[in-house]
Amino acid sequence: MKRRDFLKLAAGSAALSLLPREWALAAQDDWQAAFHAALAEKPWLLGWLGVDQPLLETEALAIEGVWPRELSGSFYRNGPARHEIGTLRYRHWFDPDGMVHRYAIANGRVAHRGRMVATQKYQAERAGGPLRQSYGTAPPGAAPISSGDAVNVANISMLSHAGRLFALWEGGSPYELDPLTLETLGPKVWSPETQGLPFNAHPRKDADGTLWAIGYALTANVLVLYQIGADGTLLRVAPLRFDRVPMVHDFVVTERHLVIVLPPYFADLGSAPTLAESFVWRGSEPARVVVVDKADLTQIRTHEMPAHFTFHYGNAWEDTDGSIRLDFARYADPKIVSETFSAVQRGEWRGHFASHHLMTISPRGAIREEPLLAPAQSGEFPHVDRRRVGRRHRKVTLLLREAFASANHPYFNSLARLDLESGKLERYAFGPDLLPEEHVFVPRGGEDEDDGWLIGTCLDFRRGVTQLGVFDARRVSEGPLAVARLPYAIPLGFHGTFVRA
Amino acid sequence: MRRHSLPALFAGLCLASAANAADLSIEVKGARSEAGTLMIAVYDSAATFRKDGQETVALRVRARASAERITLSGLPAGGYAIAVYHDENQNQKLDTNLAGIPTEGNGFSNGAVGSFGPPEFAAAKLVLGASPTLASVTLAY
Repeated sequence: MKRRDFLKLAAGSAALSLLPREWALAAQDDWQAAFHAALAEKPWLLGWLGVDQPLLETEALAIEGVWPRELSGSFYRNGPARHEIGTLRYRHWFDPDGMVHRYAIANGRVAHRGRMVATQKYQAERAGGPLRQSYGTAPPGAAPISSGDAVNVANISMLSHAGRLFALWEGGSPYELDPLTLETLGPKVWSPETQGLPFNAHPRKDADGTLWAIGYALTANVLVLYQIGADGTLLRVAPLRFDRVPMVHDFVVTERHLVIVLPPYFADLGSAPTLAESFVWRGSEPARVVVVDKADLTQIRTHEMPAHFTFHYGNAWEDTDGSIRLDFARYADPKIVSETFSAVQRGEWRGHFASHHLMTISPRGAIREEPLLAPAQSGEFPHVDRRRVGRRHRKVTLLLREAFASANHPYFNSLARLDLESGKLERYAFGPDLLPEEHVFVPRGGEDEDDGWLIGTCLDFRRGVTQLGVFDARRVSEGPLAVARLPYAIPLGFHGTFVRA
Repeated sequence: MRRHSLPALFAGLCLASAANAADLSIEVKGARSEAGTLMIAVYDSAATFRKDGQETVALRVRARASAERITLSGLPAGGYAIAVYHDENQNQKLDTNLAGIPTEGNGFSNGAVGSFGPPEFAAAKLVLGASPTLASVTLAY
């Protein structure tokens, strides 16, 4: 990396536009022109504008309020960042190359570093090679997608496991990163037979440190199950073969089972110019609920339930009668993927939101669903105390889109803590010009699911800056204890993880 | 792919035939290491393409980091597609993961890339006639 690529900004300096000015003058494709025209009218689209710097650094963020001194560690986040390359604007939010972020928190101070993940695709394109295809964009003259890792953009989430840090996608290998510098070390190879296989963005970690992950291989119609030990070595891998494997982003674990819900959203590979357009919703077909015995990965039962689509699950547990219960963000169909996340790339908002539900799977396979939110409340990015994974949890943190909240944008507008037992919802409405992102729970030290903080980012599109906020998990409605402001805007991203110092 | 009985290393191969075309040179680029061998196969039809044992010519040469060039003489005029893989661990096969995706470097003539898999014969096909032809294959890992 060349020194001139570095962008170092002192805290408190004015917000800078991170896009090269000449782009405004360059010949633009329709999507780029449409987006930039819309941005002038809808300043919240700043969340999808994109950056194209290999590195962003700020040594000390300006802090408002009192940052808790006991909260120290690294908060890592990931998200699509390079929305535009020259005159090309990506046509789906899942497409842009990933940028990972580290908020280094110590002694009540916060430093930021953001770095592009040097994937095979990113490096080849930066070296002047032809632009490659991505999930929803086929640049003119791009080669077909030959393998997942050829187009891996490592832009969804972060995993810290056995002292190693990874940027995760879901169609290819995890990319290992240096936990301090965020420099890319390369794609992770767990074993020869799993090299290059899809590995999802939401692995789940048991109380004993065992990590579980899934991967859906569209070409082979195989759902891969990974069990990785607390020491980071691959313990078991099981390829589950199906007639067709759909898009499946997340799953849950209980103490004894893995539960993977397969929505009827299948790709007819090669049927359309892009992978995104080749996915077809077969809403008249059931969703399949696959329950796998952790002790014997060949012991599988499959149940059916009405078609629906889910990105994210909160957590799951087993009741004493053997029923499995899990909370999840339920969509009626995948239009959030096929419409919302594509339209926003040309500056249009076609909202499709999820409702948070509780699912109960009886030992005999009877499946019941009940809504956990009022009809006017849409929830996403569920997050639970990670120490409760696989065991009964009481609290789930969510982003809400509340119909009655005043906001100058169509995105999520509130942070909420939902009590699954009492049904009580404690919430905080962000300012009208803030776009909140996923917030994660960080325990203070006690066992209580409320004894800790919620930490997460927001994009302030009026100021043109991203901010990191910390809440007391017991007093969410009182608003953040402190906010640390960056001197620049980071495009909206997806998921993060906190690693204690 | 089986090993061809002819000595391959830098040899101009002479395949006896009545209506021979001009020489076909194959250049293999992009080997990431000098471990193992480059397995080079030439096919003359879609029916035989990538089928083990059905190569028109199959060669193995020691892997070299610099570009490797081999010239074949005496092939009949016609259409050919070339497939190369880097057998780094020398187990005489193109290793794949559980989903059947190659885990060793490989490439095809014309820079052909398949959609969610290997390319078709037609995409990798070049026509060998009266003038000498150079086919370049770049390995991708």
